Amino acid sequence: MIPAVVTAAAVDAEFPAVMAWAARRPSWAVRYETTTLTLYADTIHPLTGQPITVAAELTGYRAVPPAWTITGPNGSFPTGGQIPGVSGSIFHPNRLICAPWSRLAYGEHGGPHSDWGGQSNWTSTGTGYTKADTLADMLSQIAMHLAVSPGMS
Amino acid sequence: MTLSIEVEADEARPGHGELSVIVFAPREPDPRTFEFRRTETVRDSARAAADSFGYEGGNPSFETERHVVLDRDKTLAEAGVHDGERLHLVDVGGGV
Repeated sequence: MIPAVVTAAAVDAEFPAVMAWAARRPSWAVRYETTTLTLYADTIHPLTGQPITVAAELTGYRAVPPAWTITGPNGSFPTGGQIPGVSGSIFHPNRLICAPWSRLAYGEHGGPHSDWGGQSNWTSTGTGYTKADTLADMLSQIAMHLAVSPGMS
Repeated sequence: MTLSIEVEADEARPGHGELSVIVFAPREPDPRTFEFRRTETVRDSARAAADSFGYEGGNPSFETERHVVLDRDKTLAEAGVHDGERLHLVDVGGGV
């Protein structure tokens, strides 16, 4: 298990980039709760205007990827849209982010991917899938896919 | 032949057939300025920018300020990139 202080240091190192990323996007606001090692990003669905909270539970980061969740009104989750030139949405019908950088996508956490060699391989597995090795890169991916999401369900 | 040069922002003076773009990468707070040939593909120019920012692997492309993800197979000119444009590095590997 990675000590919490190590994860906190990793987050501290990345946080200026996270804040800068959010500052370039007026509809996004980020905050970090040190006691729970959780990064929150509040935004709105770009099509429906519904409020959304994106959360990354960071226990064990960077040895393992964050456990990302997205929660809208009444527990709703973004539906996947299509970006030309991108093979598929990261928003899985099982209401999780399906990406190598998403802990909940791995079979060991009940996710659909037992074929990625385990969560500790998150920065190298899933060639051809979305790649994001920092928290800001992950938020960027979520925002890019959210921009074409047709709604929440 | 490609031209992918990272330049100081106040030194950007692209010549004929070239353009200067300001690239933001999520992992870095500050943008960087690059000069590319207009005939260079989005794929190659995004790769060059990604390498400069320290990205390894992945599937880099550019997204415009209007959240349009550029076709990696087009040249910068074909993709409508103009001199001085602000672009955001994104990864276009998919999910699911």
